[in-house]
Amino acid sequence: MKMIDFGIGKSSVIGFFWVLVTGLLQTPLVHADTEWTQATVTKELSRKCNKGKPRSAADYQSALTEVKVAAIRTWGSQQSVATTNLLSSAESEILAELDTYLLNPFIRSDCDGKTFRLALKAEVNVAALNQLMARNAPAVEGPRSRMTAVFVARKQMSVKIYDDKVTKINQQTNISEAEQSADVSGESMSAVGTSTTTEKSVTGGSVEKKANKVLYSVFNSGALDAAVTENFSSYGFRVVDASQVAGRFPGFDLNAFADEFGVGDDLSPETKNAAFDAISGKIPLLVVATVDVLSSDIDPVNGNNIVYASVKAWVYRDDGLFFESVAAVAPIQMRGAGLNETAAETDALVKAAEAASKEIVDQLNSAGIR
Amino acid sequence: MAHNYSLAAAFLVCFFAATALQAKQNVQFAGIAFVGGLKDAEVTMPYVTKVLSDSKIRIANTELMKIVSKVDREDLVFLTGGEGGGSINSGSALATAVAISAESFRDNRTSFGNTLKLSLRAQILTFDFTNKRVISSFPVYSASVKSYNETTDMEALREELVVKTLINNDEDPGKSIFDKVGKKLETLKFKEGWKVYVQVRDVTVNPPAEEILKANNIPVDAYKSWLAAAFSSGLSDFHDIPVLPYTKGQALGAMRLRFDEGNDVSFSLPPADFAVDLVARGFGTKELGSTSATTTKTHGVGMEVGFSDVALGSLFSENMQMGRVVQYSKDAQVGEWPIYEEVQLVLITEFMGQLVKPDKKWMDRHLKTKSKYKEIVKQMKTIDKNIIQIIKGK
Repeated sequence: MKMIDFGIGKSSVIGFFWVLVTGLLQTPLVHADTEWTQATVTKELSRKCNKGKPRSAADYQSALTEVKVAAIRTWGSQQSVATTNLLSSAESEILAELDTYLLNPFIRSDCDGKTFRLALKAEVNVAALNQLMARNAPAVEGPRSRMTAVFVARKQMSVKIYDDKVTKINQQTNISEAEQSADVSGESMSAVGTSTTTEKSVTGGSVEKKANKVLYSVFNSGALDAAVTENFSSYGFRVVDASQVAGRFPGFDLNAFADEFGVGDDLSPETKNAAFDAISGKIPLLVVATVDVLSSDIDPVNGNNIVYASVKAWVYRDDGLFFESVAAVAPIQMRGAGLNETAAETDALVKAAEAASKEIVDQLNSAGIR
Repeated sequence: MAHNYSLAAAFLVCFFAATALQAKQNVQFAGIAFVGGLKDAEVTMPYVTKVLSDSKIRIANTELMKIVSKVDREDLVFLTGGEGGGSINSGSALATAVAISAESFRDNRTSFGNTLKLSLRAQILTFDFTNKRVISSFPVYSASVKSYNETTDMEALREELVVKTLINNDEDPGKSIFDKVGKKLETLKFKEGWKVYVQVRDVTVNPPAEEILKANNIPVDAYKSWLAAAFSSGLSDFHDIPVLPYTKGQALGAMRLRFDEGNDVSFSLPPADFAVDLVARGFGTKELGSTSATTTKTHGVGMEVGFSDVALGSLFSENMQMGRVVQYSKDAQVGEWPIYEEVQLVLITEFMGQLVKPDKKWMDRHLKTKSKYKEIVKQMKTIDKNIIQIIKGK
């Protein structure tokens, strides 16, 4: 019997085995976000329990469904209002597949006479819930609104710390009896005479604290802009690049945005109004956000660089007369990792931008803004 | 033909080697960490952090890695040399570390001489470092005592005790934290599937107990941490289950750790399903008799132990006490506190045994209760069946 020659050399065979060996050694990636939820329900039964459980399987099943729903609602109540609204809109689907959204449940119960209690703790399948909410977001018929988004990436450059301003007072005042009674009885200034005077000596002072002044270096991040555009576009918004807007509509001054966010956390009314005027009637939605690069660190376990970024955002809509504030994102911190600090920083910026844009879209969807 | 056989043999060797390696789970060993972050650790564990400062922590880590690399298990292999198992990209999510949580020195001055005792507490933490989440926590405890006199350099003595208790004690081999970690890692269950947790939730000190603590210069908070840790260790060691660390005063659901390089990392702790509440009821000493040369005293400790289902309420709550009779020379002046501590540890250990095998004699002697024996046995069995065995996944 002759073995079939595949025309490969010994080194190729060893290479193949090596691929096989290393392939077998690969462990699956673990990327799940873990959040727990807990709930307890109490049910009054029509008959006493038997061995700690309701006599009717239907009663047990109904309590179990109820506690799972309560657990999902408990988790939802800790999320943003927009997420809670979207969860409510998807509740029928969640109810149909509770076990998809609650993983590794730990269930226990007790029964005292006809009172049955069931407790549940489970891990929330956040990824699956996010997918469901994305599917259940209000349907978009036709293209959504035009939008432009200015995401300013910043890094703290310096902090100016001001000394406390101390004012010392040493004052002597002569006050009449009438003045004293006026102080005490408010409007009734019907004091009689000023025959006696009191000499009052006041010593003391005040300490005025001035907030530290933080200076930022503002920088461009292509990855950040791409992530923002991708996210908003994926939800159907027609995103107009901010630099194009600035180029076409004088008053929409990106340099002013950068200058003002370099020394503070908000834009001046002048810069904001100039931007609103510039795009009024043309682009109905304006998103302004700051993404701050915070501390960097080394992961003690794997040696990777870690960078944290914090994002906050505001969304304005042109109602024909004014640009009203229709959504806002309170600071969200995200952690980025990478083989070097630049990679970790980009990862953190992109994650922060994704988190903010998702929250913005959730809020706009929830408010019915197309 | 021979060439073909050798190729086939090479294939089989590679295949079986790969299968054997695949069967073993990789667990990254992350070395020493301090519970509470850099600033807290320096305040709560000044001598341990001093001894392990700067480059010394690397030397200590090397010693620990040597012990851990000798652990030979069929189900898993500890990666101690940065082999890449801990890299996020390689996908190995399980890691373990020895997190030192408390140091406590006890100075005992007697007419026979003075001794200094160091107690160290640590946790063998298993965590999913991708998600920065603690999966299990097994407490480890060790203590060393050394005598001293007025000429002893006390700073040097404290540092020597740290080395002996933590790293290596030639006079008492196998008793250091590192040795105990090595032993524990030989059998410790590593699984991502721990999903039911117990934790000491609260420790209360009644006024009579507080008076004794004050008389012995023991800060109430330090004692609460000690009692919580002692009970957690007893529960974990006796029943071989993880016990979440007592985190009173720390952020809820979080545990901050400081690693080798001085970084602080915050891990999320899973919520506890079952809680233990402890009450230190009191400590008492009574003279039983005396001769011209000796005095006989009994030292008693009273505590209340409660187990609860966090969602469904109390499962067990009983008062218990234990005493120890000691005969002293009339010339001797001996501090009471070390004896109270010892009695309390024995009471905790014996109570753990009762949960598995209740003994009427023990209960008659040590439980101060109006409940009937059968009722208590039923409650104790409930703890074993509904808490301990469920945590074990049985």
